[in-house]
Amino acid sequence: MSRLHPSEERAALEESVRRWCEDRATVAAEPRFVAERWREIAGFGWLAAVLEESAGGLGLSPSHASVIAEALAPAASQEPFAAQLALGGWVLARARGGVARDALLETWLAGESLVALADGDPAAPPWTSRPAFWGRRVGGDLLLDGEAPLALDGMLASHCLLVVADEREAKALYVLPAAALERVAREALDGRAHASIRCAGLAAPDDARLEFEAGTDAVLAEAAWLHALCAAAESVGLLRAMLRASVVYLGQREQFGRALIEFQVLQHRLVDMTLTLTRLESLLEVARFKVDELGLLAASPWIAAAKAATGEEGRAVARAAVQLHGAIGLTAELALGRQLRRLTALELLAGTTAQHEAHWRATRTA
Amino acid sequence: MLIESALGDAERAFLAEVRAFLAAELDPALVAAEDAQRSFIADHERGNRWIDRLRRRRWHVGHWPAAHGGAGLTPMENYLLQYEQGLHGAPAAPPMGLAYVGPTVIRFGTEAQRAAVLPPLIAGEDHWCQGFSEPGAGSDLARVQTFAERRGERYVINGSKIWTTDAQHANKIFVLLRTRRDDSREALSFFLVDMATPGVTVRPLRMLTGDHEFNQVFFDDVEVGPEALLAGEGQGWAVARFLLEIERGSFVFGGRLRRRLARLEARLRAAGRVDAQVEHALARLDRDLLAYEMTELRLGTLAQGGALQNAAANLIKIDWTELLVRMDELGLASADPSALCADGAPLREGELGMPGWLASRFNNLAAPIYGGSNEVQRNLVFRTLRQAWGSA
Repeated sequence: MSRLHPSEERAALEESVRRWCEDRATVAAEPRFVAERWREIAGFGWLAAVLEESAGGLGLSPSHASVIAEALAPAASQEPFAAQLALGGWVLARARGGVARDALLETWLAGESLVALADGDPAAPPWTSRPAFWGRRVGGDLLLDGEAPLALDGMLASHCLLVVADEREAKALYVLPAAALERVAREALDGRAHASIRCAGLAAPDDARLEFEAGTDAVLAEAAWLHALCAAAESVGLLRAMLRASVVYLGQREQFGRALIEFQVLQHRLVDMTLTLTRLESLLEVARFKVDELGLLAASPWIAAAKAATGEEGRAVARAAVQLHGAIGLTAELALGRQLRRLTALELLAGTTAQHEAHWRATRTA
Repeated sequence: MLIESALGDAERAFLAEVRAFLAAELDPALVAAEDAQRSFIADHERGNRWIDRLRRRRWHVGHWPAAHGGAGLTPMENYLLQYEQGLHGAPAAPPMGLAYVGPTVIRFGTEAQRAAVLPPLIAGEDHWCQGFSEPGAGSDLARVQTFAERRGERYVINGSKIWTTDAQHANKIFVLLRTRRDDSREALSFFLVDMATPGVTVRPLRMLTGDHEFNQVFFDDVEVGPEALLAGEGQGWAVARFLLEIERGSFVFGGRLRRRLARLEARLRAAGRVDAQVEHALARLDRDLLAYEMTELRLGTLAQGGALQNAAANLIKIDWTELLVRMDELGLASADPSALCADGAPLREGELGMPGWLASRFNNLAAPIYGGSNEVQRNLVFRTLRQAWGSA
């Protein structure tokens, strides 16, 4: 039996997310994060789906996270699923258990707390080493100095994961309460509540340090690739919604005495959007297969192909959707406009289109 | 690339069987000749030589049901068989008989017609060509005017068909004809005709490269019996649509395109032509081809197109033909004046001298036109799109 047929787990996940989205369609315009909705998402087990069972997860392959991200995309404009899962829960779950980590993971899985990864240079590829803080030993204390210019969901987070380089330049992750850090709100174009995070001479207790069997660098790189996979999937979900909305809109909007959809030139534009969407769906499927087969790190060329394509080609599909809607497409009145903002943010997040394109170019024949 | 992790255990075993077969049967001279070919259309002589080898396993009719002489392969097995052949440079099989007529006669034929058509087709004794387009009916196929006039039990055919691939090699032709003097689709009927029937003549059409792939076929008072009519008068459009669905969608091009891209890239690298711009173009083609390969697998083989599944064959046809043309154009964009002249490969009568890849660049411009132009395909995709989402 071919493994191309979606597993029962995957089909069930898609179905449950789709139902949730339909029920929430009327509130999807909510411009801010709503804690109650986030707890609903947690309650369905979607945050737990791909985490290891020993960490309280369901143990599905990480590719399933992208299935959830894709299905959530049309309705969850403010629920930070991709970043929270990849850069928060995934990292915590990969860390060795401890009192602080266990307690935080438990509330994170329940949707009661969010975490923000505080790392460095947002312009560098996220799968590269990017410490934002420096640790120095003074007496018995480790004191942290530094700034993370763009910690995703930083204003929503109860805790931050600080990427720290110590005096030997080895990297480590420290989990600290957000209240102990200096946070400055950085509201994003898609309405997300990011933050810059600073500290100077902050003492980090030893039990705040997360230990990873796989190594800190490897886990952070995995998290970056999982984030990229989910971002590509969310983009595909958004683009499908935009295409669909365009078909419906052209059927309703009359100009020149007939519905716009009767014009062949517009019909063919819709078909070209469909061709592109089909291509993006296929690249996403390839990436999922490769992740299942090889794991996140070894699957990076194909994740990069999918992310680069959703950026580059998704841009063209989104532009066509706006063009077909006319000026109304450039307002926030329709879901389309909000989706375009989120799509634009996704192009810049989890590795830019250019970074993924370069990674694909460099690794495609490997 | 073939996404092998998508395969189940039995499919992996079949894949190994296919690869072993190709390693044993596919000799380098055959592959070299296929690689040097001047178009994407199957070469009659070489294709049939290869079919002779496939016949031992019944893989030349792999996807036919076993009850009708086929190997009864699953769609996935058929995909693997075709993908690997293409990837390893096996000659493409001329499709008109084994791929088109066979399944169409299985679907619409009487027992007598199946008995007459299928065995010689399987045995390689009959070679078919396709009589659809006419000088006045190209994209708008339903406007064909070639007429079959009923005289008692028999029919007399007059008119002509054009762009008929391989008519110079075929001994049989299937034709879409009009059996009533009105313009409706109900006036169309589908006939199976012996090319040796008096009144059938073939005139070669030379293309821009001088190549002879297409012909015009004339019918002057060609008389056929009732056994030539498939599925009854007025059923021609239904039969033609069934056959066109095969033409557009039942092939696996991923392997052939993957080989073509690898050879293009190797040629450009060997010639020192890969600057940053070409590197970018190659990476983009590689990515688009990867997407195509997955599309072909999941929509073509496993019907995973969701609401748009009915448009799968049309989407696939547009995609592979445009990829093919883009590959040829990258080759052209990276070439120099040495490509103006023949590269020493032997030419057949009438062919203009130029490297095979450049002749392909001309001949493959036919791909987005044949099998229903890509604009007609877009009309059909739109119809599905509207049915699926238009009233949401």
